Amino acid sequence: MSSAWQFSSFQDTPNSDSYRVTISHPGSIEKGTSIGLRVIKDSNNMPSAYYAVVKSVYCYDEVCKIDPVTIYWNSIGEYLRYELPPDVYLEKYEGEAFVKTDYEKLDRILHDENSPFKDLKIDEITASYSRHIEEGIDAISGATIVDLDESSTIEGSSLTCYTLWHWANGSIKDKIQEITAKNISSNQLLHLLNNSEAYQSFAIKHLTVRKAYGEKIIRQMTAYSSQASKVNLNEFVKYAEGAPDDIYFNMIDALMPKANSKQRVSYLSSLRKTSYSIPNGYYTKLSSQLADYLNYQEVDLLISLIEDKNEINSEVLQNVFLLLDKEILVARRAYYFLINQQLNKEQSKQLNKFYKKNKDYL
Amino acid sequence: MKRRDFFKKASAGAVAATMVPVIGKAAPAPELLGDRKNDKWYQVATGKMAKPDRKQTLEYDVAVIGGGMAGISAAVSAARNGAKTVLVQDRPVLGGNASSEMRVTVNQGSHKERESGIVEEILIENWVYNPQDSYPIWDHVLYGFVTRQQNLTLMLNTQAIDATMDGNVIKSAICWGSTNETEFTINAKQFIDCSGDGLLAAMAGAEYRTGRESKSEFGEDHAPEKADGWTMGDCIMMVTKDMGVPVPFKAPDYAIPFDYEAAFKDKHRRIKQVKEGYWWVEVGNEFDIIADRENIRHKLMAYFYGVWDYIKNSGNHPEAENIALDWVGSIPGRRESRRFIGDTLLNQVDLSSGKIFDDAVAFGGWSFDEHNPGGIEDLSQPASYFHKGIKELYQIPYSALYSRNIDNLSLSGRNVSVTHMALSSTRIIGTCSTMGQATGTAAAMCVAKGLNPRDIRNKHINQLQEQLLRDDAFIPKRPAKDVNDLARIADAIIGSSTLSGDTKLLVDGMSRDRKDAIHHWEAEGLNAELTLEWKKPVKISQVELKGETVVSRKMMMHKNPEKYTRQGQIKAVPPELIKTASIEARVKGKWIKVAKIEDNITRLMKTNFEQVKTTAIRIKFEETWGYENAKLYEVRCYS
Repeated sequence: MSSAWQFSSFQDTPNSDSYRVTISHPGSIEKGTSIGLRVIKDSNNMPSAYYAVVKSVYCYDEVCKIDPVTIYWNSIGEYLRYELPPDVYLEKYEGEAFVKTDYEKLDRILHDENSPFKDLKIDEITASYSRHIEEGIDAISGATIVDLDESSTIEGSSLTCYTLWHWANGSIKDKIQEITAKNISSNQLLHLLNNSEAYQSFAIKHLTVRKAYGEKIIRQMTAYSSQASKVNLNEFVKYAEGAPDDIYFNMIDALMPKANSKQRVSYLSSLRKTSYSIPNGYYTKLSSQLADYLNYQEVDLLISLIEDKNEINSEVLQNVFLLLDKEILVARRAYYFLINQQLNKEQSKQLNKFYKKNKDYL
Repeated sequence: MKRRDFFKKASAGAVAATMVPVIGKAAPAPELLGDRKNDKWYQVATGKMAKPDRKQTLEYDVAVIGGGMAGISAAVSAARNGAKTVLVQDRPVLGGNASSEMRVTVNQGSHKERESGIVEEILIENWVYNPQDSYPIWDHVLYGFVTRQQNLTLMLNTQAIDATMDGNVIKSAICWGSTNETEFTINAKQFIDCSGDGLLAAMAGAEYRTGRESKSEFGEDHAPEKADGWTMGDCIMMVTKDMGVPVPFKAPDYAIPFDYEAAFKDKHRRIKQVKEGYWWVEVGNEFDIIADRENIRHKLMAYFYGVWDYIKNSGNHPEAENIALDWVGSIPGRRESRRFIGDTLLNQVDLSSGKIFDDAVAFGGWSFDEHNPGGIEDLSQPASYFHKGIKELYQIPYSALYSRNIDNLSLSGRNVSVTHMALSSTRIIGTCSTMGQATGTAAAMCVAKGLNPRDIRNKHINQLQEQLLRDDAFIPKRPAKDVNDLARIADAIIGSSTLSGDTKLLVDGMSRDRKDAIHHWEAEGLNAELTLEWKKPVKISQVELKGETVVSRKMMMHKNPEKYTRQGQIKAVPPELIKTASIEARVKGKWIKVAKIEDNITRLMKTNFEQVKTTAIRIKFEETWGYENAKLYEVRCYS
């Protein structure tokens, strides 16, 4: 493919479909703009990229030069690059033509998902764009000049940058994901778990939406969860929570023994809020791992689950007693649990000893 | 020293009026209002003759003069911080330039983010009491906000016209109540002049400037080569309504024809909309804009009706055919007059370089929006220069907010210690409000410690900054580090879930996200919990939270409703804000509910309860104003 700023025409591939989508763009005074979105498919007939021709600026007076720009996105709507027709050159204020570094910079700006353009309103851009000064740019009544960092915009063409940024990174992303989701199988979604974090997130969300709880999928998802990022671990837990109660419980049960502290917190938190009925004795089983728990939060969660379910027995008590030797936050959580339980003489003695030793912390 | 004696002495020191920019002291005070002698008042109820000799002497800790947004912020913060405070306003309504009388937008100092603190409280409250965005109701929202404040007395229709001095200390503000025909002597320990024109400060003998500094004086490259007497002008606002049918317009006799061909050479002066306007219908003054005020008001009305006559009757604006004037101001909004001199005189270079002040207490971020000094009477120049140079939020130091020669006088708003060029940025209402919160808080500290503002600046500036930050003011590049905040020494802060951010960020001293770093914790969903654990017990009676109001989203009221949509505003309590929460403390292993937050509409949520000795605090977030998750920027705990 050509570099982003090089001028080249594009050809529709034989494997392309097209969709007409209505996009809300903050530069437009219309509620929605209808554009043609074309899909490029790979050899498996799966959407691999999209492109659309958009206007370089929205302009409501006679002085703008409006150019067609082709923007490319990947299959989950992340901006890839842009192209211009061979005879089209972008311009800055006063008609000065873009130079190579401007085209490169525009590409960098469009790649920045957190560009300042994200939160700016069109008024603020037009007010800063000399040719498009509107009424009301004073302290008295409205907006004023926005001084954008030099690195965030191209001097003299902020309106173009703003317009194209919102094309590249705006609500079209949701439309693209919607189309991709409709044209991809659950197996293909599973393959995306080997891709970037954004792809993984897309895959889990859509497996959840389509309630994909086949055996193979569950197995692969369970295996995947151990390496999920913090964000995607949350997505995975939502996937598990969307399953029928037996599948949900089996997934959590299978994962708990191998889980690290962060994962345990996620699973225990899920157990605390689930409305599914958890088999009797499960928390007793989990309590045998308590001594290996690393931090206060997971200890607190499991003891709270035991308290909620009132699953108190000698095995649980024994396991909780082991925590009295841990650091004070954990030991104190155990102590406050234990003082409310029926204890034998030896246990009471042990608890009393803990109190004497730690009364300054209680 | 008696007041008369002082003024006899002070008048001898008046500086030559030809000096430009003027550095002067006040003119002699007017004669005493005197005893009433000529009334023939027969009181039928008693059958006696009487004299309406109405005089009252009032005692306060802090007297705030001027009830605009800076004055409201100053008075409320002084009262909240423990000072018995009076707010003296010469108009029948609060709000100053922002009131229904003038209708200047409560703009925020930066497009990128709003002020928090008192001005934000007011803006949120406005959407609760005034979802119809009515300006007259806005006046009463302000009235309710001020009058419910404990420790604070409001005096409307009362103007401070003179000062009684003891050396360099103001003892009293002499005020005239125009509706009750009463002369008030307001004695106070601290005075804050937020009146814009600063008559009290001037009468007290505080040094001030008017006019434009030369480029060379402070190295301000936007300033003129030579100093002159010009100030930015006044202007009147208007609002229209669409009648649905063509409406004729006949201009009043005094209208001045609009030279639209000359005016339109400047792109700022073109008629782009007919809903509200027009800030460029502006008239300034080359020497003494205060003296010229009534003349300017007449001219503004004349120029405005000339512009509207052009719009309605030239045939060039068919979009105005059904449009009729619904309201036109009778009191001009004011941009500039006296600028009083503090220990620091803030200038263009300070603002554009982002200078760090060790006494920073407020902030701004508007461009150098310097208006053409001649206003509509000089169409050869652009209406405003909109000089560039403000790259980021800048700090405003406390030493620019008090008089350098009157010991107990503070200032907030457009009359603070800034050059003409710096004022072109600091004059924004949101910015002025941050100054007010700072001086009000400081004045209460002055009273509590028996000190004056300069002492606070020199000896207690850290305490002032910490109190401001605790009260939800924002000072760029100055994170909070309050040693009394027990949340900072918690041994663990645990969130029931984390969608973004981190619970640790809730005690990092930054109560809003910055460009380079986030400073929040967002739970997944509601019914979220935040638990703070201390190894050793702590005594706590106050838990304070800062919630999410999205400071990057605008919140002000507009004259032109289209702006709400164009700016993506929400005319309601920010949906992200916590509405309902409860606070629990763990005492001897048992969780006890100690406080409840209900129907909360403020970013800063303060709770007070009987002190508990505890090792853990748990906050349960139950409800927001619509957002799906609980989100916080700060948690604090105090004994």
